[in-house]
Parts: sequence; structure tokens; C-alpha cells
Amino acid sequence: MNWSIFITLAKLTFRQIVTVRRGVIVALLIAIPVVGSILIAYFNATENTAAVIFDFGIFSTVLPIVTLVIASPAFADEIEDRTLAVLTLTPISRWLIVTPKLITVAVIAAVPLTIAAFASGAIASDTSPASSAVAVAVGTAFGCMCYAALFTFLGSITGRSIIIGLLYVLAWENLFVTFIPTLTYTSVSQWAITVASQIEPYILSLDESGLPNASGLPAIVYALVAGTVLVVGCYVANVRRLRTMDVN
Amino acid sequence: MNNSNNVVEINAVSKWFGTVVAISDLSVSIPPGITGLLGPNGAGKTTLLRMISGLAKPSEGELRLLGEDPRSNYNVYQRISVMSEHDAVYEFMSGTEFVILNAKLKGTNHSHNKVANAIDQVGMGVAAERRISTYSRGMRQRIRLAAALVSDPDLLILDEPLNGADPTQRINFQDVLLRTSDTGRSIIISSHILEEVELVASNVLLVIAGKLAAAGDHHAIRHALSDRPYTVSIVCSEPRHMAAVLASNEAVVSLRFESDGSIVVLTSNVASLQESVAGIAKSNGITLERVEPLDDSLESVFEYLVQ
Repeated sequence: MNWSIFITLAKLTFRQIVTVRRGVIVALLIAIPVVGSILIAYFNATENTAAVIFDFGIFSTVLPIVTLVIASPAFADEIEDRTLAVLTLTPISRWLIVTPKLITVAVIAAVPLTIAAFASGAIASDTSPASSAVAVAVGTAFGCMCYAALFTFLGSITGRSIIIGLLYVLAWENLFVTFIPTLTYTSVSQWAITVASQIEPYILSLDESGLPNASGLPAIVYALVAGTVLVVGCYVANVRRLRTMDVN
Repeated sequence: MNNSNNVVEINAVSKWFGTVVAISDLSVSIPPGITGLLGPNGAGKTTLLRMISGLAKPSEGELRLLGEDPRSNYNVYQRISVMSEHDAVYEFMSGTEFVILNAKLKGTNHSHNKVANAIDQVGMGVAAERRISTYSRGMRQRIRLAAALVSDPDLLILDEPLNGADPTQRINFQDVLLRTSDTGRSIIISSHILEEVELVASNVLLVIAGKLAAAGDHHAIRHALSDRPYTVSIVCSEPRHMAAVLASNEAVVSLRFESDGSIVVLTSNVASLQESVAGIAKSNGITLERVEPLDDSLESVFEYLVQ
């Protein structure tokens, strides 16, 4: 690993992604579950209501959308403004271009998301605020890494990554998965909920979300393996895409 | 593909996008020195340069850049710099930051002196600390040239670098290219205007409709352009009178009238025809409304010869 190049590209990605407009969008989105949790605490709502906030307020909507907003421009913007050639017309291996970009967008997305998730967990849970906060934050970080790999790759293959990503989140993750239980195995947000529920089971049990045990494997194993396969698969596909694509 | 001294070897290369053929079975060797890639807009120059630099993969054929396949051997990029026709810059950076970034990515020396020297070569020292978003198009071109020069490349590939440049910038740009060439580096520069490349290029390749139409020094290119038969449409106040006089002109191969009253002339010498048409119109009191090429080749000829 050439760390000098890695750091240079990480800094470049940070400056590309962190803009005022994007910051405002992310701030508004992550405020949703935090405000929801405050309202739950204020009105002494049930634990089940808190679980719904974690599921639909964080894992199924805010987590993927915030990660989409941050990850998809990593390559999509470079392709659109034609600066990708600045990177590809260099002796740098393609994996060394993808790695710092992917890690940087994952970190940029994970920091505000896990902070918001931690705060929501701590505020909304009446009985076990500490473990709920840690559980929701860990699940969010896991889901963030998976979505970052997916949406970074999506941005490298289409200029409409935001629209396609939103359709995926709204239609697949929130509609089909809700009504067709088998599809929970393909849902990143359900994997994330499953990870969170290992730390604080009520997140899973009260809302009946997350994965059921499948084929004799514990759900957590399935979620971790599926997440790893997704991240590695998208990473490899992204490197291959950079190697084979025509750059304008 | 047998002369290892050539900076680029292109063997039967084609490139198509769907049903559109951009480059058709093109073979050519580019020797060291400054080579001008000339052709009208849409001729395939940019596609050819993108393939030479490895940004696009040929649909067919083989291509070598400094003896390597740029699509599989990225190390060749340590020895070349490419300046595309697009404004490919990070607008949030200063000019200096952009030049340093390019040096770092190439793995070359990015010391203060090295970077300052590249920036001074293109006359951007005063504005180098400003954000690129505040630059004019000409300034962006110059800072991109500095970024290309900072790694001391063996080969510089420039796609329409003088587009949008004012006359002073053109002279400065050409001066930088000549000085760069004097240090032993090779340059490939594309343009749709012959005058732009003939001042600096010892070798000119004329590409028309995706094919190599002519190659050689600029005298050979001008000769090739002038000798080809081309079709010209002439619209004037007295077409029959004009046609009668033109019929005896040596440059006219044939002529015919169109239903809209225009004259279509097939000529073997565009420059001569143009002079004749203007002279005939003036001496016979004929008003010329329009003289225009009917094919891309002629359009390019007019661009080159009329200026």
C-alpha cells in the first residue's frame, strides 16, 4: 500500500464530498430520528414505538439515504465533471484509487449516522438506554459500510445513481421487503437490524423486524457474511469497472 | 509495429459507438518530435487521442504508447501527460494545489521549486494561489498545462489546447510547446485549424471521417487538401452568368444548377476556386449571397485556407 497516494486521494475525496449543500441535507436527515426519539421520550411512548423509530427512522430510510447522498458522488461526480481522467491517467493501480475513496465515504457517512443513531438509542429507550444506544450505533455502522460499497459502485456505473439509489431504498428496502418476508434476506437494512439486535434483542423482537434464522444458520452469521460478500463484491466490481471503462 | 523509436504505434485500429464509426481501420506511426493531429470537428481526433492515452479501448486493432499497452500497463503514465479538451479540474483547489496533486499522483518530485517552475512556465505565477473556480477558460488551460508539465513527461498529449485562447495566449502556448520540444520531449497536439499546428508541428496527420487522409509536413497537408476534388454550393444574384464564367475556370471539374437556383461546383482546387468566384463576382457586378462546402472535408478546407 502506497500510503502517500492513499492519503492524497482520501483528502481529495473528503474535499469533493464535504460541501455545504450536502452537509445541510445530511444534517436535516439525521435530525429526523433524533427528533423522533426526543418526542417518544417526552410523551413516554412504548418501547415498541422506539423500535419502530430505529427500524423505519434509521435503518430503512435515513441510513441508506444519507449513505447514498455521500457515497454515490465519489465516482459519479468525477465522471460527470470529467476529472476521473486526472486519476486514471496516472501509474496508480485501480484498487488504490477505489480503496481510499470507499473508506473515506464510509467514514464520512458513518460519523454523523452513528452519532445520530447513538443519540436516538439513548433517548428513545426507557429501559436500557446504554445498550440500545450502542446496539443502534453498531448496526448503523455495519449498514453504512455495506451501503457505502453498494452506492459507491452504483455511482461508477451510472450518472443517475441518486435516482436509482432512492428507488432502490424506497421500493426494495421499504416496500417489497415489508410485504414479501423472504426478501428480508436481501435487505441491507434488515442485516443491520439483525446486527443491532445481537446487542439489544428488543430492537428485533418488539418490531418483528430483522432476519429470521435461515437454513440452520444463526441470523447474525448470515447478516455478517452477506454484508461482507456485498462489500467485497462491490469493491471488486468497482475496481474492474475502473479498469475496463472508457473515461471521457 | 517495428520501429521502437516511435512514440505511438497504431495498427488497424477502429472504434465505434453503437452504429457510429468514429475511427475506421486507422494505421499510423507517430515519431518523436511535435506531431499535429488535424481534422474538422467530429473527424475522430479526440477519440483517437483517447485511445492513444488509454482512456478508451479500441473496438478493434492494436495500439502501443511508448511501446506499452496503456490499458494494461499503468506505469507508462509516469512518462506521459495528457491534457484533454475538457475543463477537467478540481474547482475547489488553488492552481498550485492542482499542480501538486498531479505531481503526487504521477509519483514525481513535487518540491516547491519544481511546482513553481511549472507554473512560471505557463505564466500563472500571479494567480496560482487563487481557487480554480475563479479562473477564466484561458487560465484553466494554462494551469492544466502546468500540471501536465510538472512531471517532466517524455510525451505530452494535448487535445485542442488552444480552444478559447486569445491570440496572446496562443503565442505563449506555442512558445511553451516549442521550448518543451527543445528539451527532447515529444508532443501530440490536435486542432481543427491548420495554422495552429503548422507553427509548431514538424509532422501533421490529417484525419477526416475517422480515417487518415494525409500525413507529412504541413506543406504536404496543404497540397493534399488543395488537390482533392470538393463540392461547393454557390448562391448569387446572377447564377447563369456566374456559371458561364466559371465553366472555363481550370479549377472547376463540373458544375450544375439546383432547383433552388444555387450552383453546385465540383472543384479540384478550393483555394483557386474561391479566389475566382470572388473575382468574377466583383468584375461582373454579381452579389454573392453564400459560398459553402457541401461536405465535412471541404468545411475543414475552408477553415484552413480561408483564414
